[in-house]
Amino acid sequence: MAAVIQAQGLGKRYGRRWALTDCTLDIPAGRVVGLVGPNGAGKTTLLHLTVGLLAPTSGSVRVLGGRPAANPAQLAKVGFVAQDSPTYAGLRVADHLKLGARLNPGWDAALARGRIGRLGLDPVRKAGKLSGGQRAQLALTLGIAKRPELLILDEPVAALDPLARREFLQGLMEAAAEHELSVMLSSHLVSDLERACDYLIVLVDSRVRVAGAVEGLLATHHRLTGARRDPTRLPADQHVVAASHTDRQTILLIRTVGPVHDPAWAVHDVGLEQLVLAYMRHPETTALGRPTLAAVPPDATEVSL
Amino acid sequence: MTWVAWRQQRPSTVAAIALLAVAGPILLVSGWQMTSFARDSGLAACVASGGDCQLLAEAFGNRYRSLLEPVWLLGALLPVALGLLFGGPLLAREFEQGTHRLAWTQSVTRSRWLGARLALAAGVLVVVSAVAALLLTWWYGRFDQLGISGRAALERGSLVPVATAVLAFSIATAAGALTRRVVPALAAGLVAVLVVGLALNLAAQQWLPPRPLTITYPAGSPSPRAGLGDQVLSSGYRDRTGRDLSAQVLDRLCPGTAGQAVDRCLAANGIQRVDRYQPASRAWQLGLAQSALYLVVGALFLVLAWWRTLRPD
Amino acid sequence: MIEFHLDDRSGLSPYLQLVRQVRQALRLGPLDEGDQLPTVKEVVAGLAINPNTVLKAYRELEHEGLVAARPGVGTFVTATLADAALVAHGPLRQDLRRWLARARRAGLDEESIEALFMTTFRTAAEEGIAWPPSSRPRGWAKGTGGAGR
Repeated sequence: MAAVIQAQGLGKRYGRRWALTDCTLDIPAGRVVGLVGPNGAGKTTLLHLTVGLLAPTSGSVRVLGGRPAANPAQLAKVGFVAQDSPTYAGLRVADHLKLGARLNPGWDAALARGRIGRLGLDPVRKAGKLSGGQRAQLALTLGIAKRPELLILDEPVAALDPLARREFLQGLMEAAAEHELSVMLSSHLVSDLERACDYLIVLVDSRVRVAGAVEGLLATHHRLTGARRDPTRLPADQHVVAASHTDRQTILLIRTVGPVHDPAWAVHDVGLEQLVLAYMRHPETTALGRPTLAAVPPDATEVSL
Repeated sequence: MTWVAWRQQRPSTVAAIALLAVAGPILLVSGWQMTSFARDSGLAACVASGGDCQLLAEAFGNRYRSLLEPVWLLGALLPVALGLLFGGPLLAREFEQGTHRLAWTQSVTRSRWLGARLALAAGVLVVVSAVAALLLTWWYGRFDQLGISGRAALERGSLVPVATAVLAFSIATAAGALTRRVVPALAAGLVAVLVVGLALNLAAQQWLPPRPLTITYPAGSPSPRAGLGDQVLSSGYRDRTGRDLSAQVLDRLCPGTAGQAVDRCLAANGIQRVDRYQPASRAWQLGLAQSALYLVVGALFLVLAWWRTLRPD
Repeated sequence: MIEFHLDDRSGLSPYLQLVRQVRQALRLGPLDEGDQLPTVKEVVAGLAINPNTVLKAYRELEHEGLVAARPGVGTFVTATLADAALVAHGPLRQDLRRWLARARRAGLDEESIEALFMTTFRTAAEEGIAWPPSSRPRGWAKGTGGAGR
């Protein structure tokens, strides 16, 4: 499948601090990609690099085969909704649609009007007078109506109440289904992304810790519980992501491609949130003597259930 | 893109027109009053017939001379205000509100977007400031056409207010590109405009062609060029051998406050005055040179703004 | 028309929940042969889930022979489960009630009954009793050791 975003050693430095380090990604098209990480991890930096608002300090990134923001054709293929859904406070809703029409040759005016109508947004209202949820929906409409191949959203629901959040995600998923969009959205909450995403990237402390299809991640991560023991004595193909011990018990979160044969372990599934938290809490597990490979190898994601 | 640029330019255009709507009537009303007075007092008829209108001119001057200074100030500050109004928020507000992240992810490149915004803003600014300049020229003309000398002649030159506005616009735009906040951009822009404007003004006076002329005449007597409307840039004293005399030396030689006694002393000692001046006939030429200088420096600031904006961080 | 809902806290993956809900609807009646399933867009708009999840669920149902996709029109039910349900479940349900009564008489409380059932269920699967892949709960990593073994 064609890759929609390809990054090679991508990095961004501000002064002394690296906001993004050594980021290598190969994201297939047709997915809804979730980018998760704590605040300050580098999510916005990564997204801004993919839309050309920032230039890399090191490495490179290719979006839909081209350099971000290189020319109008490239710009037309990618839609972007920035954090806090920026809109022109003095411009009316209808003016924003006109702006979209004037600045985008691929603009679908009927789609935009229809969406605004269904959402109940008053075209004469100034954007500065809209609620947070309404502004987010307006920004989303602008992103969808330019008919991009890829839509990128930076924490689109972070500032929204639960109802607005739900309505936003419903609208986004509907658009993704209808227009066969690839989508990438970031959040610092896994719960926002769990239902919608089928590809996950976890970013912690400027580095990618996890990158892979959700299906594959869930199939290859297990929670093992059993009597207290030394986790370094696991088979070589089982990588420990997180470990905790009580005086009697050991609980491990492991990543493995094959089955777990050892009868001494009880094997359980791992939920997506648990998985993400484990990687966020244990970015390096060198203390256990086994390096944790952050990225799931491509073949591991092809597990069919 | 044109519609988008215009729509974003509209609020500051409206504000600019409001400014003109305040300043304009002031100039128009006072100018009309001056014209009426000149007609009613017979000054206009006298000048037209070519007679000696000294007394009438003095009456006119006594009544309206006090307006010259405030109007000069208005003429200097109005273009600056317009330039700041158009340039300060142009980039700064986009960054401050984060709307650049919306504008630069549509299907137009950053350079096309910026080019269109700058071109439209500058275009509207030129039109608005030209209207202001014409109003000022007309107003100064009340003095000028009556043969009243003074600084009036050289303060004209419709190009200078327009160029001043463009210079202020360029500096404010660059300030906006650098500070990325509206209020700091306006503040920094204002300071920078005043500093740069003054510096350029001085530089223009001293070095810009055409170079000033010099005239030497006996101290204590009026200049032979009095009443011709020259802009006198500097005035110094020389002894009869041609050596420059400082104020202290002069004071020792001919003490006392200025008056007939001092004048007689100066004449007796053969002291001469040296004036550096620009004749009124050069008004248009000087205005053109000054405007060109402003526009060149303004262009440099626009290049700075362009470079800072187009380079992705 | 069936309306889907998702339980975030059930152990089942979303696509399996959708499959189950269709099969349940077929069994109990709201869905009949010839009925149209909601479009992918409709399901996604209602639940805010990934479109691929719905596609996968519909593909699974198609694989089981329960529905068929007609390109450009929609996905339609081609079979029902109602008949099989009514016939097979009666005697099974009775056996189960009798067993439950015996378990209660033996002194087991609800949790113990559930635990007993689940461990026996899992052990039986390992011993090679065939399960159709779609009804295997997500808790199966291949070759699992049973808890408490």
